[in-house]
Amino acid sequence: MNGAQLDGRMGLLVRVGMLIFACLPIPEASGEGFLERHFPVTTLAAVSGNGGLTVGADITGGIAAVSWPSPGYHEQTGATCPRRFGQDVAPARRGCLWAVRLGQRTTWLTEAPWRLASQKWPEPGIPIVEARFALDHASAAEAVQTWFVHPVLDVLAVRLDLHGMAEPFDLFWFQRLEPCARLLPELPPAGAVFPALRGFAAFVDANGARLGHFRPHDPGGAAWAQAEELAARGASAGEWSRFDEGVWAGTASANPVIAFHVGRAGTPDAAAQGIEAGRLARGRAATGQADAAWQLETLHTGEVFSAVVFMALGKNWAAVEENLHAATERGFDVLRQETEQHWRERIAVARAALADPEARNALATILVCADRATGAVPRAPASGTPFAVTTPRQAAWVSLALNMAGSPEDAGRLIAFLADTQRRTSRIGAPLGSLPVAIYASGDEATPRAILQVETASWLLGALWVHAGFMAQTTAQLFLAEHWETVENAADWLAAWVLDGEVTRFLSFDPEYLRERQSVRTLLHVYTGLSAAIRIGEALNAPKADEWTARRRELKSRIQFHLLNATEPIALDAEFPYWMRYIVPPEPEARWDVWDAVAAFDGVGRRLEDAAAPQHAFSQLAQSGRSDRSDRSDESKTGEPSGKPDSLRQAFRLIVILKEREIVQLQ
Amino acid sequence: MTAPSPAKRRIARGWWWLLAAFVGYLALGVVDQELKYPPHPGYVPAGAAWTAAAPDFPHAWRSALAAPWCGPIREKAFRQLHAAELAVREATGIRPTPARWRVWMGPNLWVGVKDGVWGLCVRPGLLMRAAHAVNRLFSHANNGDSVYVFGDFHYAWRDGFLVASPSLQYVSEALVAPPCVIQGAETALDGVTVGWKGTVTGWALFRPDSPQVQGACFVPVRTDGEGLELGCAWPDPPLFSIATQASLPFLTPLWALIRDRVAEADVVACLPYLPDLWAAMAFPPVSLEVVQEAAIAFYLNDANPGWPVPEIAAALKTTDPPPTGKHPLAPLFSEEGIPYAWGDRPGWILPLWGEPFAVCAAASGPYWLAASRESRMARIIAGPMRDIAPGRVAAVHADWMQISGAIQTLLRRGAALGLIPRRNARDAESELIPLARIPEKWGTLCIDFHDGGDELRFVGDIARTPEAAQ
Repeated sequence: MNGAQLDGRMGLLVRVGMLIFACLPIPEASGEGFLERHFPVTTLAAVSGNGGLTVGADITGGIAAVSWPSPGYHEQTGATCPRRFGQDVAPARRGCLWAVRLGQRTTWLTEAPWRLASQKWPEPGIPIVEARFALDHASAAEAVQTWFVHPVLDVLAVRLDLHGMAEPFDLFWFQRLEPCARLLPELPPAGAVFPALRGFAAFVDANGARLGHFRPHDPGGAAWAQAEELAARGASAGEWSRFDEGVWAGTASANPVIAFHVGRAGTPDAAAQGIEAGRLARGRAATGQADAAWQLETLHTGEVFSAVVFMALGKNWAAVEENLHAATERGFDVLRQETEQHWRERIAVARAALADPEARNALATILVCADRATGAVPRAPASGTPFAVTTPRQAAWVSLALNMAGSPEDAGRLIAFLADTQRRTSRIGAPLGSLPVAIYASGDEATPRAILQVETASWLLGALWVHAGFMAQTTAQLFLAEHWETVENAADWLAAWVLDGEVTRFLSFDPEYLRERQSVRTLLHVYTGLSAAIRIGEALNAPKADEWTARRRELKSRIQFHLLNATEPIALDAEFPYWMRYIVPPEPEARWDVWDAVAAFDGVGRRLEDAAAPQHAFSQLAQSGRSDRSDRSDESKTGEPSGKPDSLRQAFRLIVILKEREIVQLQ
Repeated sequence: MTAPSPAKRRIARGWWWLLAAFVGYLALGVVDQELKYPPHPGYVPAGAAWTAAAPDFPHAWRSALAAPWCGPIREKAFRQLHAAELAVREATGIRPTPARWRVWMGPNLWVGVKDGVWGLCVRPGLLMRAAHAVNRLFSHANNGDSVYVFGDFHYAWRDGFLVASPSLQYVSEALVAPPCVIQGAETALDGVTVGWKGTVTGWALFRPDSPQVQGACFVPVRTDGEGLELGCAWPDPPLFSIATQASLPFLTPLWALIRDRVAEADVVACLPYLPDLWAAMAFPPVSLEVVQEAAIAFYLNDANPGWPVPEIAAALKTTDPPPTGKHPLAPLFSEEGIPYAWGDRPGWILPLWGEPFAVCAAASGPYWLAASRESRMARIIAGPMRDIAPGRVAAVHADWMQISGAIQTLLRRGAALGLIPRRNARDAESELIPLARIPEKWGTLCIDFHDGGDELRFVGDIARTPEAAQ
């Protein structure tokens, strides 16, 4: 082993250690946590998905993220790896891109001289993305990329229309996927870390009509050796298809294929290099991190030249072939109509259908984030960031937004998912009734078990009570009775936490401080959680409510004591009083009510009661949905207001829009 | 006198031929030996980051083969050793053994690593020169500068030395470099001396039969008092432990080295700046200026579900010792610490991340103790044994059995999660776990560091078995 290798391996160990350290805090308790101040929540600017296959484009307009089988995991392009977080521009030459060769020069749509003019859903509430690219030196030339994920088939359909092309050109489709089926428990960046461990093999079928990328589950040395042997002799698709199940992606085009190439990414043999040179070398397969390309013959109608590509994902090649066959049979336009119909129907059942376009977009974004198998709603879908997870706080707000928008079934599934993550046995550091700080859409814990945050149980209790509030009384009672064990576990844990508080100092993980800490904010959360449990208990006439009431009384005294002794107002999440409104009833008879507490909201001291009032609460909620640093760069580059695929922010937007309209109607 | 019969003449002539052959063999042997023993050290490129020199490499090789600690290597890494042997055989046509090395390459060996490429320098005898003569018929010098090619290697001759490397640049640079001298290094006939340059320059002589190591780092050393008082003998043997005087100046460049390496890493480069992370925790400032000596022990608790949890324990000798003094970490506990007691030893706990990660503090005799977990503190509350050795300024111990166990745990966990390139759990079990088990019976690594004036000298055992320790 030489020195460089030794350094590399030591470096890896250090990196792993640092990564574990850095992944500990998931922003949960505050609107803008430590990680959110340092990382973009997502690097994507537009998404489309069906709850399984979820695809995202970055601010260059390139399709940078392909997540399958869930919006929350496994991201298949590697374009959103953490190593690129510090950069404003997402990496080119990964994911799926178009290139146009004019004369002797290859241009990529995502790079100069092309410029992304706009990228949006043309029809609000329907996740079909239209990106318009302008060619700087030819004012008439425009490229329009339209893409979407079919609601039933796991198929991405992409169409490119080129307008005003004055001179002859060659059109290339490029794809670099790095299939990944790894989910690291207790580490939120999941498969995005260790990019060198992604990918397995890419191949093309006999006549170049299908491109395939795949990685079987758990490939060992024998599988790698076999893949290398097959790649060396340019094996047929049939031979490749014999590998085990895993993540398989296949691409077909409605256009005739002029030339193709599959190569090793990052080498002179890479398909990207072939496109740059304007000549594809007809390589048939490559192992490891591979890319692939087609030169396509465009179909033209009048002055418009078009090309259509379908990409399907599945657990094996047969499933991919089946989806590709269905997609090519129906064609782009039929798939588009089916997609539009599906989403119109989906939105139609919600109240958001009546509301403004922004509300429809917000609701559709949340629904795109929802995992079809588990009901989880990751905050940032198809993202390699640490935010492609569900947190109890985020789930509570999203479920409220869904309920308000008239999608109680989706809200119910999300709450059921959250309730299922509750710990049902007691272990050191993971007591009965507690929840993980963050959860993968698969239900696996996404944050280290060492982190224990008492607020998580409060959010769950609150979410259960608030969700029941949107139901008819008998249905609500049935729902609460069904979750009574969950309520008991969570509330008992909170009560025990209060009881032991004198000894354990009321500590809970605080993401602002990246460690356990005592804070009045935590006490208020627990107070709210116990209030929800008591109200559920009262609704079900459960005897336990008395015990919880006693603990809540103690907690109230402690909150009052802290506030009376505090030298300055406590800082509180801007939107939290609005959440409390749904759960904590005022006590007008009491000498001191928790609603009398004064807290600082963005530096302004205000009573909780006043902060929860609509004129304040809505402005705070609107601010909670404000732009983050990645948004600002988006808007400066595309000129579009952000429609970021961030389910938490979209939930805030939805709540604000719906409540504002409600007030207007009342007036 | 009768003339000898033809038969006798033939026999006599045969004897003369035999004698001539014997004399010729002796003469060639003498010449061969003369050629193999160099007048000065061999050549490695100037500025090589790593240099290794062995005055009798075949002897050191044979010693290693016979040493008990190498038994597990031969047994558990036979596949890798065989592959390496096969690779050498395919590259050179000769099966590598100590005897063959001596015949072909001579006893001396210098190896250098520069800019990530390696090369070697030997002083061969007649046989290699004859082979070169044959190779010249089929090869030719590169660019006319007398660098030849054999297989994947470039090689050249200089003053009777043969320099070879997979890198042409390495060979070219070695041809103009001065003779290789490892600064201040000692050599042994049965040992290999390694020198390195960088933030902390130094050398180490490794003797494979014992196996022992000695060497020096070129940093000024100042001994405080009689010598290090804290040792590495903890009540619960750690995986790795270090005891050091706080005044050691080499700690600063070492920290700088680690910090730079961490900062270079891709993943870390994109993470929030580390001081930001520390600042976010909003701890009150802690001053360690009162610390005179520190003993730190590392453990890896793999009983934890999920990932193994690292645990750290520390003993500190300060200018403000217990029972009347103040714990150096006391500011951390002033506001948020929870009073606690381990038996009759009072202390504090400051939970950071649940039960596995907390700052625990207490006192033990004249020392202050700290630990990262309550249960760990309970096991080390007796503190490290006092272990004064005159002139000693630092000591390092490692338990090979625990290291082997930790590596096995991490390999198994990593393989199950697909974190080991091109290997799954089955491959890891059959290929990597046996390698991780190699050091299981090596006992402990024990190295002591002593004040050497302008240098920090070290000596110790790489694999000290319990029997040897007694």
